[in-house]
Amino acid sequence: MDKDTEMLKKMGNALVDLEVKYRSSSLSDRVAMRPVLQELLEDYAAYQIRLLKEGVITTDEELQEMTEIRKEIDSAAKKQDLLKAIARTTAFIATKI
Amino acid sequence: MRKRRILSFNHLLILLIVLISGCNEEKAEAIKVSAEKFRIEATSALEKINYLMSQSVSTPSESNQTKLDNIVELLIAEETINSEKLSELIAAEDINVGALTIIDEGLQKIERSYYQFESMFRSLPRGSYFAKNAVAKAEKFAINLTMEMINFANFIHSKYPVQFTGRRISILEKINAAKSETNPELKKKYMKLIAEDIMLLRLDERKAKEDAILQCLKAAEAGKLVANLIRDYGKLNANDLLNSVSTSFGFISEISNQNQDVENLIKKFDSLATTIREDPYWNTLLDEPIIQ
Repeated sequence: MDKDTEMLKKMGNALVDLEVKYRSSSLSDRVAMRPVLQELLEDYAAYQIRLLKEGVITTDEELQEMTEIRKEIDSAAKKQDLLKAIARTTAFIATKI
Repeated sequence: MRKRRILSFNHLLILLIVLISGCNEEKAEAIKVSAEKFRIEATSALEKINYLMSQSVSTPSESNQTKLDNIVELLIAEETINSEKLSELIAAEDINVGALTIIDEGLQKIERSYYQFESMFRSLPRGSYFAKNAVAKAEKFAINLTMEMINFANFIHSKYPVQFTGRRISILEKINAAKSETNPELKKKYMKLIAEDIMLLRLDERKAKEDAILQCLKAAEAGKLVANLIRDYGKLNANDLLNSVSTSFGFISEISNQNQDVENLIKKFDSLATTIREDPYWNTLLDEPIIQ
């Protein structure tokens, strides 16, 4: 079994066991256990996200690059809109001369 | 007379450009629609991954009556109550809020790339004539985001152990309660009900895993389509591009089919990943190695 998978399984099992124990404990024990349980929950979530992100290819710089490309395409659209408007006006004037 | 000739010449020239841009407009529309489809499928895949991860940090769902009974039991058993213990009673259900936030924020960050990708093409049909170069620049993002979805499918398929924590906790609690039952008839009855819960949980966990994998592969197919459309933008006519869109959308619908063989699909997309990695053209656009 892959090391990451093994770690996820261990964390998951520990979480289930700890939560069963927490839920069957007295109120005083729950107060003491709560920070540990919360930390385990958060570590477990963060570990899953970290492993998923190993598959992420797009960087923050590339997100910026995509914004620039969008601006370029938007400005091409404005240019083309303008040209169409000129074409319409020219056609209109031509019919009047 | 001269004025009329000048106007006619201008008219023809601009009309020609407008006509050419009209032809490009259909192709641009095909890219825009496909990029939207890619974003929709990718965000849906991330929602399914979010569901898997949220379930992994879930707590058992209980009726209000059960919650009330639990509080009463705890209050009776406790000799003294201070503000810390009261806070524990009040915030008992919020124990996984921090973990859920980590998952939401982590996935939202990934999701932004797909929205950003889609937004690039929003005004493309209106700027189809002048935006060719910008479209070409967008190709590498189509390839990289497609590879991301294949990576996510592989991660869930081969690395991720799905665990619906809340339901597992409930089952363990039921088992512990049934174990202390002294009447053998009742004990057997309880265990049978628990066995049914276990089988249902097994099915639900497996289905959620398969749903997430299939959705990632649907998104990968949509991403591959956008990459192909961009690559062939200058080479193919509008009809050819529209045929590609129609074929690919058809395949995406087929992936939704409940009877899909996940193993075969994973193999198919692994082979697509290998093709991209080994293709001298695609390879240059790829930023990172592929997870297999």
